[in-house]
Amino acid sequence: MEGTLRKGGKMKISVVENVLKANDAVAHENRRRLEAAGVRALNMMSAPGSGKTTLLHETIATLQNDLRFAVLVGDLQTTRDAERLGDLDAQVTQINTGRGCHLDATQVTQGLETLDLEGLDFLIIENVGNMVCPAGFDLGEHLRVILLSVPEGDDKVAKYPTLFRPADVILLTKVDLLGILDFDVSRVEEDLSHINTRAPLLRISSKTGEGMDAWLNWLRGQKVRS
Amino acid sequence: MHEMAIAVSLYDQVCRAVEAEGEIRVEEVEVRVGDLQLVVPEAFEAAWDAVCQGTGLEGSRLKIVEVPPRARCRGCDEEFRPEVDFYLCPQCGEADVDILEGREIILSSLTAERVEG
Ligand SMILES: Nc1nc2c(ncn2[C@@H]2O[C@H](COP(=O)(O)OP(=O)(O)OP(=O)(O)O)[C@@H](O)[C@H]2O)c(=O)[nH]1
Ligand SMILES: [Mg+2]
Ligand SMILES: [Zn+2]
Repeated sequence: MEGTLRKGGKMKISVVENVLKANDAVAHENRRRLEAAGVRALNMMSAPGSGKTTLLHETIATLQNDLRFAVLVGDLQTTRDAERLGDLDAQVTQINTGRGCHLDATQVTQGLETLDLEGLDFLIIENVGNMVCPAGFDLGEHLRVILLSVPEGDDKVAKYPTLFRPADVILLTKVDLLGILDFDVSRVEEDLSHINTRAPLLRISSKTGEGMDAWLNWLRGQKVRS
Repeated sequence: MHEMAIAVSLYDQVCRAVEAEGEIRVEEVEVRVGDLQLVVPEAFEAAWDAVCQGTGLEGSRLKIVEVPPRARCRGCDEEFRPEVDFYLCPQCGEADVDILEGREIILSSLTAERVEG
């Protein structure tokens, strides 16, 4: 839609174009490509250090005999997270965003170029640790996995609702620390009761293994049925 | 922090719109910004100025129009206006919505002056 209105030497041009269109179109194409290959894609988002890479490692190590995984891991700098996953039977590609505070759909497309999608069950995208920016960018994922770790505090759902609102599952991580830190799980449940009642809230610890079965069962249930 | 990425996309779209108009000088760029994008207006303006520096768009002003969210309940199809931190459906009491409005960032219009050659 375009139109030009002239008044004296000035003119007003109506444009009406979605500024995020470029990203959305690329995300759509990523999703189509993953679906064609029968791959379910998960976008994992949280604050820095909530335990995304640790959980990914435990998850894939446990399931790798039954299910095929690939991982795209986003960080501003370093290939450390990819190296931590290097001993797994999974394709892992690190994406460095430089100064970028989030992954965008084009970076995921470039990541997909490095992966063989044939026979893959899950693509897990570990987004850049950040509670605000990643939530605004569709990557072409099917499901959003949001982590909140006990050391971050029980007020984070209330403070960052736009991260938790679109979650398909919410993982309360590092629950081995619940007895050490003052963290009231009922405050999280209370906040979620008006922000997101769809996503299950699962309590897990990658350190002790507590709650891992519920998470692994949820994940198994998301596999594309052939 | 994502204001810079948004400013870069916006710049490309403004350039394309300007191209279609010939020799003009853009004074104001009006953008509708959904509240759920959590764009910080001052950061967006600063990013815009940085992106435009040294280009034909240098000196153009951003006019940011905030768009409040609108949602549809996935359970009962009720449409309502949630708050950024409150999505409870007034009809069925669940918080499980599709966002209809409030996530978009839209270049809506340009105010410009023809450059007299
Ligand atoms: N106590 C405890 N510590 C954990 C647990 N999971 C992870 N950690 C620790 O938390 C720290 C951060 O974990 P990572 O897995 O690197 O977190 P991340 O979310 O991938 O971090 P970024 O990629 O930097 O955003 C590490 O020191 C982990 O050992 C847990 O279940 N319990
Ligand atoms: Mg990590
Ligand atoms: Zn409802």
